[in-house]
Amino acid sequence: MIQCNRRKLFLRRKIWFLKKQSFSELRLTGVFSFSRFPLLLVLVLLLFCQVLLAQVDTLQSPRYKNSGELFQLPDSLDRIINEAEQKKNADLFYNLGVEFFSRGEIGMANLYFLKALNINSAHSQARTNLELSIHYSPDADLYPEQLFLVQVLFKVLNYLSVNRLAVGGIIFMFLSALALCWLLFYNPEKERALPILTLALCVLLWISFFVTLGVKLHHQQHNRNAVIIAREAELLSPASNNVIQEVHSGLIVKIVQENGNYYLVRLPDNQLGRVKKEVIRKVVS
Amino acid sequence: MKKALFFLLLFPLVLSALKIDVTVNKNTISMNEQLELTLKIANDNRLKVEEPTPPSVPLFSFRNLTSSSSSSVVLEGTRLISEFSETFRFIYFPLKTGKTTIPSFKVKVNGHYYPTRAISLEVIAGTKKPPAQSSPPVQGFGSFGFDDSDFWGNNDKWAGDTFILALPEEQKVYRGFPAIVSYYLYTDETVGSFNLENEIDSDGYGKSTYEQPTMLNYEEVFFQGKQYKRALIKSLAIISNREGRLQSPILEGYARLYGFGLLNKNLQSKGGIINVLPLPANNVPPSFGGAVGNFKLSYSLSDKEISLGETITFTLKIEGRGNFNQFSAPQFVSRKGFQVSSPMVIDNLKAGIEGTRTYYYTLIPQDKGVYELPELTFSWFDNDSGSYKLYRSPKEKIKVSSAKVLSYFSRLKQSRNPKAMLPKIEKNSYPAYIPYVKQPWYWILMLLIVGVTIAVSIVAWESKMKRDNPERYASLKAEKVLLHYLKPATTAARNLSPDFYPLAEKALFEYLASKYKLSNHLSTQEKMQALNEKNIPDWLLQELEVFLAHSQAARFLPETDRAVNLEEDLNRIRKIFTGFSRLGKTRKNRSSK
Repeated sequence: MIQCNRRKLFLRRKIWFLKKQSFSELRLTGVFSFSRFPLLLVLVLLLFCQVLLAQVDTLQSPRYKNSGELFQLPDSLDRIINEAEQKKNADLFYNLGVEFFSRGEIGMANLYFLKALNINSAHSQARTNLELSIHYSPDADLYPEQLFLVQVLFKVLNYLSVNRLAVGGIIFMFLSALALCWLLFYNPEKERALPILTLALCVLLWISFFVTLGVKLHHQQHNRNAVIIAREAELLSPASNNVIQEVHSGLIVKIVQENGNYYLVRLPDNQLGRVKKEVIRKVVS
Repeated sequence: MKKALFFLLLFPLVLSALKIDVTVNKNTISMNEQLELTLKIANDNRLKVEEPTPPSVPLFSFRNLTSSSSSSVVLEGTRLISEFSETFRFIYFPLKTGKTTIPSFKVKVNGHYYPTRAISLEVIAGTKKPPAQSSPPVQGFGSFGFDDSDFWGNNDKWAGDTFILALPEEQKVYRGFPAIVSYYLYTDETVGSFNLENEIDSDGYGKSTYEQPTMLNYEEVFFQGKQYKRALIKSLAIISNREGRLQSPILEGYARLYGFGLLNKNLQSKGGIINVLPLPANNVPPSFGGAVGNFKLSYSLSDKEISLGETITFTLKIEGRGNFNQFSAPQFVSRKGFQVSSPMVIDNLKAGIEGTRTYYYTLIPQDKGVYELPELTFSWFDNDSGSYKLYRSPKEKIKVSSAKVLSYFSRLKQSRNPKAMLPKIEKNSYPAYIPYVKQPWYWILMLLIVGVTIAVSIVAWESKMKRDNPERYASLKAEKVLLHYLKPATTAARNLSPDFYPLAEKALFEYLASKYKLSNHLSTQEKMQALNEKNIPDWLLQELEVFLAHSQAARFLPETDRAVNLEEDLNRIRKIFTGFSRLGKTRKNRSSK
């Protein structure tokens, strides 16, 4: 049956090729003209952009209950925490962060904002609240001020969450396939620079999206960030028991190494030190 | 000139929420006491304070300096209230009696110098009892329980006077203005501790804790001509919601007294009467929204020259004491040329009644040109003067030029310092997170794209071959047709099926039609004639004729006899196909040479 269909297709194409005198009139049967390929590319982009924008909408226009007023979680906090850990839902993590912040537990609040961002780096509310919490924390000076262009780069990377990268990757894969078809059916007597450039660009973006997606997925599963949850903790020297400085609840650190009862951590200002395991909570446990 | 300079120096203080306060423990100090000069710097942002040099105070010698810092962040609703403070305590010992002044000295805060106020002092001889400092003598309140005047100064007797007094004992405020009532423990005994047990409330007011120390800090005071020690127990902020005479909450508790043994003394506060006056009904400004207090208003503008796409932040700061929780944000009267956002509110209030409230309005210009800043009005009732007051924002000119490319990035910079905690997201359910890459549809879609791409590539490759090398293309197609038809013919021959000849003949002519473009409408003789013209070897044509003859003959034989020469004819047709196939390749090789 399949062979028969292939044969039919072949014969149909054979007749069709015989009818055509010039390759400039080459067309895909009833779908589009290759001379209008850039227009099609734009249309396809617009079509898939709706998928991306739909994601933005769900993130940026949440329905607030009593805007400006915090409301209690419906059940005990423990149950919600267990549910959040099982479902790994970014909005649930975010709500837990707000709840802990309203209770004055800045460390736990930052932890759950980071958990939300680990799932969805484009969660704008979690990022805003985390920035607010950092801004008012006693250790705010430890966070370095970044250059404007670095900020822009991080914003772009944060906007490209795992799911957005996956959708973007598949869009550029599809566009690469279309560009390849365009190139293959392009009039051989014409200059091929445009289809080649389009194909190269699409392939480059496709590969970039998939590489970034791989890196982000790996980071999502092996996130080494952690948060100080004790009100105050001593940061010890990596080699001795000398206290370098006091750190406070909510400080975000990166775990470098596990060392007995201590973690070797790196502070936001790149200071290395040891803290006790019980004062710290990992983002990915 | 000096005054102007002084106000100029103070200008940054007005703009920011920075508060610098210098206090002394006593303005009149005896020779056997020590002077404690406290410098407190508070701000709603982090502070970088350089340790100040102790001021040189005539008649005193400097002894010690202690410092402490604190920070607090409180969330009220979605508003975040933060306070960072640094406190320096300078300890001085008096050297001589007389009058002197603590001079103004400069404090370096966040890189800027701020002057402190000068404070006048008097040093008196050690034997003389200093007069009351914080509380003026209050008339009309008798001693607590018994007359102890005979026992004053006689430490051998177990008798004394301990009571709680709510100060001021009686005060007048306008409705809505928060009255502060401070509860002091007065005693001339040795009080080890005081336990507050109850607050008896009355109708007609709302209250909040204004101040509550954690320990009894005594100071010496005179009350009704008698010396007492007194310590603040609690201060309450009372906001009335009706007019008339109100009794502030009555505090109950017991003091633990030391003498020959331990004694618990039950106490109940006295005083704290608030006479609430109604707000005048005349001259009420139209924009009055219920604000009552002693306020100072100031404003600031982030920029006066902007480009389209950029925003201006208008900041209105209300400072003082009043019913902050009973009025809403003032609104701009006209918005010509601008889109104005709802204001963001940041409170830095003590007990919700005293401090600073800052409104941040974002103004977005709608077109280029020179515009006048929209007017913003705020009216309130001033408790001290007993009159309504009105604030109008000044008429500033804003120049809006054409949009710049960088304007589109301005939001990136603005989000560095967020001002308010965003609330929770309400959802009916929270689905489990599974990334798209771990869902089947994603991989099906990807395989579909890969499959279609491969198929299209094959088609394109064949088209290219047909265009560039039509002979090779025809040959390949013929091979395919041969494989397609010869396979069933071979199967039929092995099964000794009579269908062999029709199948083999069909395969042969399809093959020849593909290879030599012979029409299927021609008769067998015509086809043979056409092949003769194609320079095909004679032996191949003979074999072909023999096979066709056998095929013709087989059609008219009985079914049982048809299978006699099947194997021989199968080998023959294979020989024919091989011959034609080699013929094609030989021709190709010759043409390439």
